[in-house]
Amino acid sequence: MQVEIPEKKNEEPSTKRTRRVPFLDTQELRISWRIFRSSYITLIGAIISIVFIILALAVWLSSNKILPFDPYAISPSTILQAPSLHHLLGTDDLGRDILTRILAAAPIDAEVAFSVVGSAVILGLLIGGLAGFVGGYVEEVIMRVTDIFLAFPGLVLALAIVASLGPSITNTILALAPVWWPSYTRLARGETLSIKSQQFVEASTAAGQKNRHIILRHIIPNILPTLLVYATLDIGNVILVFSVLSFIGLGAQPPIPEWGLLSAQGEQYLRSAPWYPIAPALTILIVAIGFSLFGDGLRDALDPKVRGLFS
Amino acid sequence: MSDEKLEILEQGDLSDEKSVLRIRNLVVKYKTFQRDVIALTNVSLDVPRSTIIAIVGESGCGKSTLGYSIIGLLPRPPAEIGGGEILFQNKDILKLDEPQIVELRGTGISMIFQEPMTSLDPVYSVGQQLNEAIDVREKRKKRRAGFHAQVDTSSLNPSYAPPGLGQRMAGSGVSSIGRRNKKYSEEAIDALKRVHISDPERVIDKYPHELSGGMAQRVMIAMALIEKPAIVIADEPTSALDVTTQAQVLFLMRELREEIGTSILFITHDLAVAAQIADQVVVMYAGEIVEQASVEDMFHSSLHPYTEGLLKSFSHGYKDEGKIEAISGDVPNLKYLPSGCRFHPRCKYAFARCSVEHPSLDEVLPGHKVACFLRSPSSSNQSN
Amino acid sequence: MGLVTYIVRRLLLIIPILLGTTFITFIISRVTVPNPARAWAGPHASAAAVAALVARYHLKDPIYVQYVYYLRDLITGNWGLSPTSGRPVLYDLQLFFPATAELAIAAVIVTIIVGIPLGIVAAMHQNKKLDHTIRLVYLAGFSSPPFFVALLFLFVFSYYFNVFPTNGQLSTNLVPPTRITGLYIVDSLLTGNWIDLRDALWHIIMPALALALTYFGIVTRIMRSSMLEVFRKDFIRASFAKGLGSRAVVYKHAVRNAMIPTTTVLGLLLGSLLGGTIVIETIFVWPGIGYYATQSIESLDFPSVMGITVLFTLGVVFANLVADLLYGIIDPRIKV
Repeated sequence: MQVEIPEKKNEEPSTKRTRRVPFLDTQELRISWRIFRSSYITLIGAIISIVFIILALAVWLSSNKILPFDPYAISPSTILQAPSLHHLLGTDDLGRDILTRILAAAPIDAEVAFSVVGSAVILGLLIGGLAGFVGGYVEEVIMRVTDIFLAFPGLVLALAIVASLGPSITNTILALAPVWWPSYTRLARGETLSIKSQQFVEASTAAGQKNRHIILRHIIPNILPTLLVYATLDIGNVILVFSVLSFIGLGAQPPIPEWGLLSAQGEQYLRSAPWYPIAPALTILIVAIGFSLFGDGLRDALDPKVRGLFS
Repeated sequence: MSDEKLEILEQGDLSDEKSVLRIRNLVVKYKTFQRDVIALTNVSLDVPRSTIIAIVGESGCGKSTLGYSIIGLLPRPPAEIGGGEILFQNKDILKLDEPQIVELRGTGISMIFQEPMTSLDPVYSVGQQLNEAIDVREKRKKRRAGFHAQVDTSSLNPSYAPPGLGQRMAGSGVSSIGRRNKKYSEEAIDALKRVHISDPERVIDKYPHELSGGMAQRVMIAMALIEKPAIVIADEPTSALDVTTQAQVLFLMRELREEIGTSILFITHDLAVAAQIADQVVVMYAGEIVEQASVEDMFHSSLHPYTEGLLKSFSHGYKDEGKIEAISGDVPNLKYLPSGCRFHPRCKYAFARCSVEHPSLDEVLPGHKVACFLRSPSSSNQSN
Repeated sequence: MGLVTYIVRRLLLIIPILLGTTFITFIISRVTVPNPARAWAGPHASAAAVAALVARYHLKDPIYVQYVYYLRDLITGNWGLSPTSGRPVLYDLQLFFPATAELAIAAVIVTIIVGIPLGIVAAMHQNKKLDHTIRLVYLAGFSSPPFFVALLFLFVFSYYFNVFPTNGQLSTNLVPPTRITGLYIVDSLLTGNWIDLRDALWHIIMPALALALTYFGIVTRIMRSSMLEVFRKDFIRASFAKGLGSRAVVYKHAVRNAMIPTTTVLGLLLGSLLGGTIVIETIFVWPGIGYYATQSIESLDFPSVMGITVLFTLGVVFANLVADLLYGIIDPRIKV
């Protein structure tokens, strides 16, 4: 005899949406925030990164006025002073306050890092996305060229280009971009391929949507987050390479303050004034770690498995 | 404590125990961010010697979890034993520490898996891995012989036994596997012969990726033959094989039982396979045993509505062919289990009591247990 | 697939890469430079010298023609003339190469000795304190500019504690060992020159450590993730079911399998190390190619810089080749 089955107690929650865009709706944003908040290390990284950006902006917008001292003012009477209350990190061989110089270098490193990474993301998105979307011969050619660029050790390639163009900050940006765009091209192409094969794109095509629509509304919003995460991780890396270039004499030229250049200038005083070369180097370390941790956290936040745990 | 360790180490002799394994009220949970997944609820089972028991059910019913719990390979965390005991040689193996469990594996309790090709290490040859199994067995024998000798000649004060002997030894399953020279023991080649691999001298040099699925599974069985466990847990060992190979492997497993008297817990979702190999069949649903009977009784006169549904859902030789029907509804989410009998939302015989009270597993006929109010109106327990 | 097929395929792949990379170095050498003739002749060359250069390197010809000559020059060993030393670039490179080779090898050895066990340990303690500590340490390593660790070491161990020498390959009062390979350590070992051996070892410790500690993370990271992936594999579970203990499973099975993908990182490692040697050699005044590079940059010696670029790039390309070949040999799935 059939009986009316009473309503189940213990209902399970409704199934999640299958669309991957993690930042464009509130529930997904909430999950992202939860993941982010759960790791101290990521938060520290985020704080360092944000402080760096704010400082760089502040110094740049105020044209160095916000700094305690003038980073360019030579003062023979205060050469190579040890750290004190007045000069928190001491002074350099031309009497300039080191802390000020380090802070003044922030916008310069920021400018280079964001320009290079920004252009790499855009170029990668366009070229890699094209390769993935169009496929065929075009894709093959693009990927081969990418492979060739990737065969170079990054620093060496940048070094050669700057040597040929002449050392300056602009030329360094031009030299660093070719080192970074291949990775983003590869990434964008891989992501495009995987998005392309997902059902909602096929459904869209079957429904007769134009390619342009598909690209703009489906593909780009889905591959952009991944690219941006890697971009965050890379900001630190660009600063690292740029500082090495400046250290060896290409890149920023004196008297412009740049962390690598400062270390190089201080190298000869290592014995008597160790804080001079070591402080800027340490700054690079801190900023690079900051962006690394921040980027790692972002990457975890995007990982579907991790999102599953926090939903 | 050393005394108990002694007893554990002394395995391999199938003593006068009637059951090789006794599971009592086993509860296993998986902890998640929100609710726990209750994988097994109050599972009790006796495994007699030299018996093949098929554990049957849909995916997610807990049969694999049961197998992993016995051999101690549950990933904990997130898995957690919520209660119950598993008695092997009169010891609750759930309470053992890791080195003691290691001692039991291979030579006491063994397991073979669904994908035989990936169960073998791809960087070592078949022969090297068989040698490893031989090594495990031989090292244990030696250890036990030496241990006994020590206890005999000492003043029988257990504290003279080297402290933590079990601990130290368990970690060193170091073996001849490292040896580059391909001199394999006769025994390894012999083992391959016993699993009917024609041309064992050639196969023994091969690497796992060169073998076929059936061949690889036979190598796994050969390893079991070498280590002579008291019970083998086979987790869907034939699901990845084609039908002909499947038949050969099933045949081999029966031989395993004949040759070394091992019991087999054969986990499968395929009732047809269960019919071919099992002495007893256990049907599981949503983490519980719902019916248990001999293979004839299960297929000729099953009692539980779920079993009936399973039997109707494929064609087999045991019963008159009726229409093939699917069971309506879905397997319940183990985080949000239904109240009362877990099968009631899909059961066409369900009545009022089914959604309120939870049936216990009762023996309604000799050797035939079922958990259903339709069949055993008096039973009830509130273990939900 | 068969080892031979794999090797042949891999070797054939080198050719387009070599062509591609040399094309790019060509573009950098002759096209992007504002005044190639002046750059190759040197800032102090006379007008006549510049003109001679234009003729010699066919700088007025169309690009594709120039490229062919460029390739020919590369292959025949004519990598240009250094305006600073007056000698062929390749010759200069040969002089400085052994020291860098020695340093690079030492750094790789330390990296492997440090990096691989740390990766294993990190994997075995996944997500626990030890794992997090190791990850933080190696992250700090490759987030630091190569001059950071070098300067720190130099200050602490050379100036403050005066344990290690501050520069050079050998103390100035000693005579270098008879030159067989050019690597001081190897040569002194081969000739039984124990004084030189001890001194050379003492000199190489800091630069090699500075390099290794900066870049060991590359190896540790992949070893760790490789181990974690292997842990998830069926045969690990099956090995436990067989009765093996954790020690055997980890060291006989997991590590052996995890090492295989780790070889792929060799090229990346060498690339980073070579970049790092430029800085390290400069700081420690180690007479290798990195040191030569900074000197060349300072003296605006463009041909030398390009020579170094080609050399380092070739080095990395071949390191990748070796890594791939190694991979083919140790993975039985390819070998057999």
